[in-house]
Amino acid sequence: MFRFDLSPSSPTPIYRQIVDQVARAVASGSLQAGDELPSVRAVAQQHVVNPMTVSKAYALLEQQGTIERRRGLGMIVRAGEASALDERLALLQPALDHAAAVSRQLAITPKQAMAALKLTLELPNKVNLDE
Amino acid sequence: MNEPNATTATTAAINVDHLSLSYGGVTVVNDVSFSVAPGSVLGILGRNGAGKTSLLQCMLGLTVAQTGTADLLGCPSLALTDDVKARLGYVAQSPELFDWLRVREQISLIGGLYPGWSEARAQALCRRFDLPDDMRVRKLSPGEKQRLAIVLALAHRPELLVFDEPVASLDPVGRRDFLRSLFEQESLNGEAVTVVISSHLLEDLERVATHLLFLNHGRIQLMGARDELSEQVRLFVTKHGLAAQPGLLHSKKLDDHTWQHVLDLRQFPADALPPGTHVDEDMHALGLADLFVALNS
Repeated sequence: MFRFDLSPSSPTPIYRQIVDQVARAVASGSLQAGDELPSVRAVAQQHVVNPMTVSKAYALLEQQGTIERRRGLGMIVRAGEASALDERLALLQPALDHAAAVSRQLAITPKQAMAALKLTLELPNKVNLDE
Repeated sequence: MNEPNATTATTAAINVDHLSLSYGGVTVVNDVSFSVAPGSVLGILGRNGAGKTSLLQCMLGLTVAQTGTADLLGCPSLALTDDVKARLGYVAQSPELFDWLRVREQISLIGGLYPGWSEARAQALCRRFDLPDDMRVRKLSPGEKQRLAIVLALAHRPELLVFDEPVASLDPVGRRDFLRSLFEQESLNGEAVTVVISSHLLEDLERVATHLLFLNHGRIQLMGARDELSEQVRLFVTKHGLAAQPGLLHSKKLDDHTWQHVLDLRQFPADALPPGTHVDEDMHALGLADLFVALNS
């Protein structure tokens, strides 16, 4: 069964952590279509968080089409590409956060960083040029 | 008065309207208004002396405020009916227990006062909280006394629970058990259980609170849904001070002569930000502990 890694003290709200972790696990393939998520009650009990927070996260994931409620089984990961972009963007986010942090440390302005990112994206083989 | 919708609409579990209380010229609760929807878990935070206990006592009708009113489950707290009293559970900072009784005697004494009392539930709670039911109350440790008070507040399956520093003497296991027990129970009449907790243990509030109220010198400094506050309250550092604005919750000059501000972006006017500010870049999200410190330093 999928296990969440929740950190209540983080500035990221708990419902957001749940949504992000499911999205990342789906995008990376560690959660696949048909896999079951732990019940709201089980997550709330195990992590000692408010069940309403877990429900809120599951409702959002359901809305995004990532999971669906199946009778007798609880929440199931859905097949399909409906939220594929969301999932991939969620996977990209940690790398973006890191790039943003390094940019700030180097006093690179957002404009300069954006230009550098654009250049990197437009020159996908840049790495190979050095070889 | 013929408003059928008004009677079927959900009434707030708690409604506090312009409460103020002062003792000998010192205002301890200063014009406090808020309301709590059924099923919410409201965490009340503030430094020692911020007025948390006084606010709870005024809200419950245990202290008479100079001005303002409070309603609990739709009933004025200074004129609670027996029916409403039976739907409340309260754990005071220092619970009043009968020292000479044994634990089970204290439990059945209190249980006799409530129509909805479940002896089975009281027994189950005692086991969960490791209470020796044959021991005299006076021989219990402070932590055990607190656990007994929690059992007494939960066993009649109330609809509204109020805890004033409920877990100060509990160890981490006891605290987790307490938090879990809040969500396990259904109220006797099937209504959503509403909880108010005043606590310094921010990690506990982070886990369970749906709403937060920061009290500072008797006033509400900040209040809102927990997720909304996480997403809308930001720490912001500037070279110069900011003029007073709605939504500027707190400012402080740091040792390096820069200014640190706590902004509530729900209210702070975007055009009051210094030119060139990038909301995503320059503002920092805060965990509850950091927010508490930033608001009170």
